[in-house]
Amino acid sequence: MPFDADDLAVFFDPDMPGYVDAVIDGVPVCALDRRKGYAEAFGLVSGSSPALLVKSSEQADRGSFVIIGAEVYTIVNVHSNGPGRVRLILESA
Amino acid sequence: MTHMRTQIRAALVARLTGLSTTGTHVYASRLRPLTDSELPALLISSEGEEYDDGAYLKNNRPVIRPLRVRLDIFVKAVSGYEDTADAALADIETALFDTVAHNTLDGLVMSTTLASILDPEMDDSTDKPVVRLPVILRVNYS
Repeated sequence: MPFDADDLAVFFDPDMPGYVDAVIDGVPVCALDRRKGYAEAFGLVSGSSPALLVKSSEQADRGSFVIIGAEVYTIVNVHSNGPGRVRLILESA
Repeated sequence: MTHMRTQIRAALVARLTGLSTTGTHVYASRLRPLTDSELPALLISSEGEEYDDGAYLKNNRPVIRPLRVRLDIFVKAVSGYEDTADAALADIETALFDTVAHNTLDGLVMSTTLASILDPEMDDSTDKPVVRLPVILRVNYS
């Protein structure tokens, strides 16, 4: 049975861990928050690796602005993340 | 007795603290990761010493000891990171090469010269791009 819209709806259900209401270029979207991963550059500069999972049908392109709560990000890359989903790689704006 | 290498690192920290780009974010022998509030930063570490002529030995020690010191400029920013690193480099050059007193670390060493500037490295695996600009000094001391 193919992965369809009903499956996606379950995946992005508000009860899912990490569910968050985000806004991409002014348009509200349902998303799964993947911002909290610790990351380092050169082993000497700490930071996070902000990312967001959204439906691939959302208008999410490089350079778009994402607002999550009070934080603003820029989309720097868009990766496929399985059927109907994309992973947005974010950068603090 | 505190070794001259230690004294040189301490003198460089003192001389390079308070520059306009890196401010008080100057760290010697730093191993732990820098946080956002500690950037832009300047890391100072001693490297090796190579003696190219045994004739300069005196009491089994070289008269002139050429110490390599590595300065790493770290900048984390959404944009302009390489320009900021260059600005930090300009600050360092001014601080070390503007007067004889500064160049000799107030008489502690014979001279401080710019040995090389290595390739800038960039990394975008965190929430903002990070650039590292390594600068190698040659510090002659006795």
